[in-house]
Amino acid sequence: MKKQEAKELNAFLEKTTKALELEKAPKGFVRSVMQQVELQKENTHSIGYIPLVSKTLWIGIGCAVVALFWFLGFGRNHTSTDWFSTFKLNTIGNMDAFNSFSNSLSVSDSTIYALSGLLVFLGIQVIYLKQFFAKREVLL
Amino acid sequence: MSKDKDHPLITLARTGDTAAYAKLVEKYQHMVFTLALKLVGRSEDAQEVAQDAFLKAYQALNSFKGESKFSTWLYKITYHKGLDLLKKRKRTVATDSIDEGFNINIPSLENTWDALEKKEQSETIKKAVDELQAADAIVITLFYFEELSLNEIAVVLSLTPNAVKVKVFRARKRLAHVLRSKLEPEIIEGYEAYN
Repeated sequence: MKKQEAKELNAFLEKTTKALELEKAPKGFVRSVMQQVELQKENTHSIGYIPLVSKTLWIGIGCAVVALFWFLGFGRNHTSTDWFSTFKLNTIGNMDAFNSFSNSLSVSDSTIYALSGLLVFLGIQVIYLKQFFAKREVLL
Repeated sequence: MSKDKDHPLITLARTGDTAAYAKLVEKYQHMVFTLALKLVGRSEDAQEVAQDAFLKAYQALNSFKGESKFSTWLYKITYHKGLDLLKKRKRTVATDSIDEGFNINIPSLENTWDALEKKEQSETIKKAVDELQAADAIVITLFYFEELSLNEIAVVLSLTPNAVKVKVFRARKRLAHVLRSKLEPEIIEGYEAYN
């Protein structure tokens, strides 16, 4: 009985809503939207992506790095090492201060597990949140 | 995507053809404006919402994957833009409390409806829908006027199809209730004339 009533009501409303007319958008609405679209298009062009470090500069930096290594590798024989030895480059990696600090520091296994778990979940959350906000940005 | 009639215009608009996008705006302007008006209530606000929705849709056109119809996607953007404006104005979407405790004599309503002139019918249904709360008016407009399926309305309102089914059922009852109150004087008049 209820189903029949719902069916009748639906048929009646289908009939009545046929007489329903849409509200009219104000005059000049399309023009006003398109003006904004054009404006947006121009703005997008004018704030196009410009890299902070240009390609030429990257090539220059690359050449400088290659030249530096070449100089360190091959050119060292021809130069005096007196001033260079003052840097004590051979001591790099002997982190005495760090070693003495790490010897006195003891971290329990459970702390390590907890921190690893936290890092894993943080990583998952970052991926999830990134996807969530990317979707939201498209929709809204 | 292939089922969408707007596909050729969308493809052109994606390549930067604004004339193609203007055709889409032209086609959907009234529906988008109607939805916005039902949601926010004021014409000026509705215009702002509709404009923002078309701008957002243009911006995000490349991310439209065609999983739904373009119109459904556009109505979803409009609905969310409307909600954003309501949030900004610290207002919420008005909904009625559940009220299913009334009986409607459909045949009597139908007779009275049929006796009305076309213009009167149009005015009566418009007034009745305007009297509904925003949430009901939107559901009725999408379901009966735009003839969207429950699944499509679910996409627009970000709800499950089952929740939409319940909403449609309730909105339908409320509309019938309002219509009855609009048509009651005519029913009584007809009854008196008959006697």
